[in-house]
Amino acid sequence: MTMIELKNVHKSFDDLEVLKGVDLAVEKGEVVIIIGASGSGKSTMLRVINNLEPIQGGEVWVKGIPIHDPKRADEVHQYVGMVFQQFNLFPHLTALANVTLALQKVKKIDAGEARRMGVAALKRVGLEDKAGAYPAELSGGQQQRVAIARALALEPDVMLFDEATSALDPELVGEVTGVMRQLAEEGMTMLVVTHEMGFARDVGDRVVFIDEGQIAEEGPPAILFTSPSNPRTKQFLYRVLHR
Amino acid sequence: MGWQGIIDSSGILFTGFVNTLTLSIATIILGTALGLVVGVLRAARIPALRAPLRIYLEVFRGSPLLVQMLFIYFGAAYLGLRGVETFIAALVALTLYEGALISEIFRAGIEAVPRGQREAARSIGLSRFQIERYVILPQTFTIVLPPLVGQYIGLVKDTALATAIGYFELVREGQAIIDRIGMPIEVFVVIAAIYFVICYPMSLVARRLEKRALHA
Amino acid sequence: MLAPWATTFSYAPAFLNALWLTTAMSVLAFLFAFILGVLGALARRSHFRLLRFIGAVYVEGIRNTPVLLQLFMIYFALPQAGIRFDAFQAGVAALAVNAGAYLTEIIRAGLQSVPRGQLEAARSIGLAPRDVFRSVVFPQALRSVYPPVINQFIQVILGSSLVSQIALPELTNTAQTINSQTLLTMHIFTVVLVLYLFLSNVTALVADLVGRRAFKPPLYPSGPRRRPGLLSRVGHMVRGS
Ligand SMILES: Nc1ncnc2c1ncn2[C@@H]1O[C@H](COP(=O)(O)OP(=O)(O)O)[C@@H](O)[C@H]1O
Ligand SMILES: [Mg+2]
Repeated sequence: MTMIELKNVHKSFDDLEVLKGVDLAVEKGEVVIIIGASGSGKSTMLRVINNLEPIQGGEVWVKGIPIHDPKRADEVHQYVGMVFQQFNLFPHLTALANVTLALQKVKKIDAGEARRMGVAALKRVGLEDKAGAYPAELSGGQQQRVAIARALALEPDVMLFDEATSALDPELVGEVTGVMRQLAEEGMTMLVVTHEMGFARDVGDRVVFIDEGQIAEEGPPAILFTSPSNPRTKQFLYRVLHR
Repeated sequence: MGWQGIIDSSGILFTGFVNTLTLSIATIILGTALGLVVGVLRAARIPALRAPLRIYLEVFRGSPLLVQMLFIYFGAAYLGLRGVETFIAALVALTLYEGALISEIFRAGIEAVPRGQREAARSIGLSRFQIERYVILPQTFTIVLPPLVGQYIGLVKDTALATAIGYFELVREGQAIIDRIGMPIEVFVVIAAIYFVICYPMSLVARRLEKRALHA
Repeated sequence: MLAPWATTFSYAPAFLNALWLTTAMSVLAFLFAFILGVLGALARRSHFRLLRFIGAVYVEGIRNTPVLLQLFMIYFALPQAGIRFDAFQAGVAALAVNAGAYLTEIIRAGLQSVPRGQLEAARSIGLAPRDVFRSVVFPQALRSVYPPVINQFIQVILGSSLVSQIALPELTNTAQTINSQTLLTMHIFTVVLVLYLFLSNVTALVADLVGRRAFKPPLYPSGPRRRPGLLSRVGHMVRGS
């Protein structure tokens, strides 16, 4: 079953064309890694899927729903969860309240049940003991895990990760990629923008290389990382792997 | 005579104190309500409201409160609204003026909430209204509170201008006492002390809130 | 319909005279206020406790009482102590003393806003203390202080309307006088309102132009051309320095 399908997507900010005709299909249970230079349009692609940016051309389908149709665009949030580079936890709410907010306000689940589900979501990321903590009292890694729990609690079919570990100190990266690995093993459909090449190789079913707003090359990690065919991919991988 | 005259006038002083406080509290309530509405509407960037709200702001922030108050007081009489009480005229002028200043505090507070907060709220499916209500405004209030308290200090002091249209707040009662017993230095010092006792604690609160906001 | 306007404009000489008084009083008061502000900031940062204390009493005493009261004290109360000002002098004095307290805090905050790392970096490349101040601290403090100082000047202009209450024929007082003679409230107050708007906006506009030209890099970063002046000032307060 195709969970996400982009068809010839064009996205511009004023005069700047950022996505220049992107085609991509993601099947259920697939983990797709997105790599590419800074500014190539990776974040924009995820944000387009999550209806955070309007597009100027093409189609975006999520579970058969046309997200490019403004009337139906907001339905995407029922099926897709997103994790941001800067966590974007709500600083005035505890970890648990961050997780239960949408359960109560969007899904209209009563407080007791929402709480139970929230604690369960925090447990999945190993933070049930931090339920009462405010974001400022948590480390970066813990904050990002709460952000993952916040998305997971809504039982999404797809998770989008936009450089979820880039804002973290190196020693905290592992706890977040650990949670992401576990999610992948449980069969979650995932689109992951990352610079963690080890993670990409181990967990990815497919790697997509974006170059200047277009998909320049894609394939299984074993092939794309070892013998890329596009010279731009080669160049990019060389720079990333020989930092 | 000496200070005895002032002690004898304490009843008048107290009336002035109560009147100043009444006008201040009424303005705080109405001015904050007006400022919140205008600030939220401006932050929402609604095209049709952009120009009128901007004109309201420019006029009330770019001209003296005293002129606004005289305009409203004499203007009401001119338009045939006879017997508009000095209290009402003062309250309307103060509300419009402080409301303009307060709206900018709210607008800036709303815009100071990082963009990512709105996006995260959208991506968990909250509606436009829910985003404002549960995510943006609670954060706005902690940002807005220190300058808001600071504005209230200015507001309390601004009520003194109502003396110009004959409202019997502290300064005017002070002048009335001076007319009777003289001793302007002593009387004004006492009145200054009363203002200080109201405003200084508010300054301390504002400063503490500001420190806390910086550490949060 | 036109007769009231004709009457109103027949008072043009009085309005112009009043405009001049308001402007002169504001400029003069602001100059004195700025001197007071610098002295106040120095006092508050002084090594001597007594000076710091005097500075604090000045700032808190002024900022927590109404300007109108300060004006009345100078004009009505000081004569009791043998100190006499005419209305213009009293107005300048009250506005200067009042704005001076705010400028004290603005300048103090401006000096404080220069990050410690800047001082350390300046010292570590061997600059002498006076050069640290002249070449590193002062230029940066000036940038952060410029917008609130301009705002304070606008506050002095608007605040000068209070001097009408001690019968100085500046703009507001002139409006009241003409109003009582003609009863053309709407017309007369519209005129003074517009004159004040003119003064405050011209000040903001000129300050903006100067800010763009005199500072390098320009003070108000480019991008969508947005007039700072009046409308950005609370935003500045909220976001803090
Ligand atoms: N809101 C925006 N307004 C204007 N330009 C933007 C905006 N967001 C992104 N861009 C531009 O779009 C391009 C792609 O950005 P992005 O998708 O964030 O790249 P990546 O995530 O691959 O680093 C960049 O040139 C960036 O400057
Ligand atoms: Mg990005």
